Amino acid sequence: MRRLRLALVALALAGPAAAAVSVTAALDRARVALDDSLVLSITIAGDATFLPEPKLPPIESFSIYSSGKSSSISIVNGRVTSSIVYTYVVTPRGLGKFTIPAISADGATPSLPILVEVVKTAPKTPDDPGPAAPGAAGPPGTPAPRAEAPAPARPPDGAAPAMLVLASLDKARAIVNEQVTLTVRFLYSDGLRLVGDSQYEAPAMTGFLAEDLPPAPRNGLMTYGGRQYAYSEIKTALFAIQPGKLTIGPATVHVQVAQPISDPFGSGFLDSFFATARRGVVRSEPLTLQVDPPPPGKPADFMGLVGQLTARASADRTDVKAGDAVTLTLELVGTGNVKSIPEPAAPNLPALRFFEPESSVAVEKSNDLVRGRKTFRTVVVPRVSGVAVVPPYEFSYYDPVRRRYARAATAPLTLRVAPGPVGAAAAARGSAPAAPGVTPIAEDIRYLKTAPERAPLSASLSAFADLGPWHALPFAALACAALLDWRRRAADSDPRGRRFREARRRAEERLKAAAELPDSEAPRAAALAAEALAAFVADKLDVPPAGLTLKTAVEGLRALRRAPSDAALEALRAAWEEADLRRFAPGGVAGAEARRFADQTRDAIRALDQEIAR
Amino acid sequence: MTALLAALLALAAPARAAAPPDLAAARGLYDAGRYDEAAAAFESLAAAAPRDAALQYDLGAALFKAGRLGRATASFERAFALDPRDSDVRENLAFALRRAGEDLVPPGTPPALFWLFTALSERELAGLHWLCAWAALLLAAAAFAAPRRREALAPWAAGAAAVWLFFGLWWLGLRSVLPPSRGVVVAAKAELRHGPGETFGVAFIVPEGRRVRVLGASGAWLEIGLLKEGARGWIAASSVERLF
Repeated sequence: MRRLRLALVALALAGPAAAAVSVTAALDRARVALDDSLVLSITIAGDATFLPEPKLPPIESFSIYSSGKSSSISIVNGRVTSSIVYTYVVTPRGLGKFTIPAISADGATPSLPILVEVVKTAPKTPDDPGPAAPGAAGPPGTPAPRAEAPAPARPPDGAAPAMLVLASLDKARAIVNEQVTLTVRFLYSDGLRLVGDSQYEAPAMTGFLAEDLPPAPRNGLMTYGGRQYAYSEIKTALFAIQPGKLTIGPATVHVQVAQPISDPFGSGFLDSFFATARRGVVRSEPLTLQVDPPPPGKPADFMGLVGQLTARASADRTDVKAGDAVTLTLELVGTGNVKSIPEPAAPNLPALRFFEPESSVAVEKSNDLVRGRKTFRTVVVPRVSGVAVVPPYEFSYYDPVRRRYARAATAPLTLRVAPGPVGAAAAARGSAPAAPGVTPIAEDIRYLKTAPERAPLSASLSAFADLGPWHALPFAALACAALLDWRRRAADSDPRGRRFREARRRAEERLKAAAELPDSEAPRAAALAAEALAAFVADKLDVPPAGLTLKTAVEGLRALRRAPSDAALEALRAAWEEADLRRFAPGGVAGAEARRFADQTRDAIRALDQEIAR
Repeated sequence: MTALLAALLALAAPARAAAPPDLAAARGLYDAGRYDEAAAAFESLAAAAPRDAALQYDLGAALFKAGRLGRATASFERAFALDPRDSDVRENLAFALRRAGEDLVPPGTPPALFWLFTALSERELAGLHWLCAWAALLLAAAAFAAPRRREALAPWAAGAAAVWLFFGLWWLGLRSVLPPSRGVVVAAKAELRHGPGETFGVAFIVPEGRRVRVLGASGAWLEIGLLKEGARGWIAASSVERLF
């Protein structure tokens, strides 16, 4: 538990300080009225992870109250730089010129002494409740408090205590990381005379992060339960770190009250010099706060801040060369626990390399509201030339005023990158010197087809596949060939019928051969024509041509299922007899006669072939 | 016979048309970074020549640059179907598919086997199938028609029939693995439902660019199967672009 003391406190040191630690002390002004307060700021700064606490020397002329502290830590390339500012409220106890002595810390260079002048002021009329009133902060006199007895939060019926501690919250319900203000007031009656150092013991605040709200204490006069009180007030900003019903323990004030000794003069004069001190403790009632988780609809990138936020990004320059460093500054300003804003993730850009950022935070507490500015600075190195755009950084938070999630985004930053020196890109990768090679920067699709060309064979095959009904042609050809073959095979299985069908073709072949013979071979041509006629009839009758006579031929033809007509038979007879005449005629045959006989024979064969059937 | 086939191929092969006059303009828009306009120009060109793999490739590149991953993937798929041996087409299709969480080579398949299997396009395989069919059938017809040369023609006809069978099976296999009823999801985070309507619950969220197989249709809804996950469901027809 953290203890804040209302009076001068000697602080124990946590351990040895780092080498380079300094202490700086400053007052907000050099002159102060007796009823007013000064703000003393003690800054401990150094490059150590753990900084020592300041050692306040005894300062008899002032009452000093701790008003909290604010820390800032940044880590750059593993080196820690931090500072803590301790704030105290200094209230003068008397008039005159005083010196606040040097303030030291373990292992640190002490600060310089500070001169301050305390002057008189005109008395003011106290208000209820109100700001510090003249003399209100000073310890009043009797009566003595109840020692070691906690004061009630509300006055009992008919009797208000001489002093009590009241604690309250500004809201009964909050969400995680939303600011809740705790107000602790130490009330003591006007007649009570406090002596020595009163000590304030902050309540147990498990589950909260706490920020003291200056100034502290705030003094004033008020009426409570019908009784006039002076009060000292301390306010603390709380940020719940977990949901649930959280309890804030009792706030405690340890006091010393002057107890008068017996005054034989009855004038009260001796009370001022010979009173004895009696220690006492007053406590507030514990408080409970219902803490809810973040409302539904939380964005995936919700970073937990409850307040209001603006974001701004800037670069120290926008025209650079590849390999040059650019400092990118990201400022987040807003209300709420800005310290809790996490470090933003660096964009994954192949053209830019982002180094680890350093952060700093400045917290301001005014009007009981915690606000601040968190700054991230990172070094960005362009890897390649061209236009590189740093995309917007987006931060999602919950706005308790508008009761909805909101998003603060920076504007995109455009860097115009000129080509850098050879090797700048490789250096930007931050790797050790290596053998020259190809440096992969980014993946992308390939470029357009500059010379679209398709293989002619591929196009022909595709087109051939699209012939459609034409693909039936080979099937039809195969079917025709198969049919032809079948018919051929069928003909081969009937030699008589085949001889009957082919009789005319064979006769025509003989007649053609006869016609092609020259006139000098007219007798042979006539013999071929006669042979053609005899062979035709023999084929039709399926008999050997050698023994065939005109009579047997006519009889055979008449015996066929479809016999020839008489005219056809007469033509046969005439041709047959002409053949016999030519065969046995003396002196041979002239060429013209042979051709006429061949024509006569052809006519007879055609007439018979058209009329007869088996 | 050879002369006849050559004549048929010559008749079937289309003359390569000269580049449309606005192809250069489309490329100019692309080079200027005006990807939406370039995509519109390439789209009109591709509509006039749907069998031109290069135009489908260019259209896919412009759509990809314009941030339309689903439609870009569909165009690259068409280019791949038309010209699967083009390394640029393969590279860009694989790149786009990786953006949608998918690989071009199916998991568990040796890449060499996949590349061999897809070395010929579906149309090329169909052409070879029909070419071999013509050869086998005409050789067989010749063998029937010329009994005296039957013994000489029969082995050629049998060989052509064997090649015909080989390409036929390859063709059918390719159509089974890469069916024409494919599509690509073109909507971001498209909802795959249990039925054809918004009254049915959402079963899956499908990322843009994911390849699907269209199994059926009902009104404005398509029943699709996810090639990678093997799941099926109903999706708004406007969320899917069919390849063919």
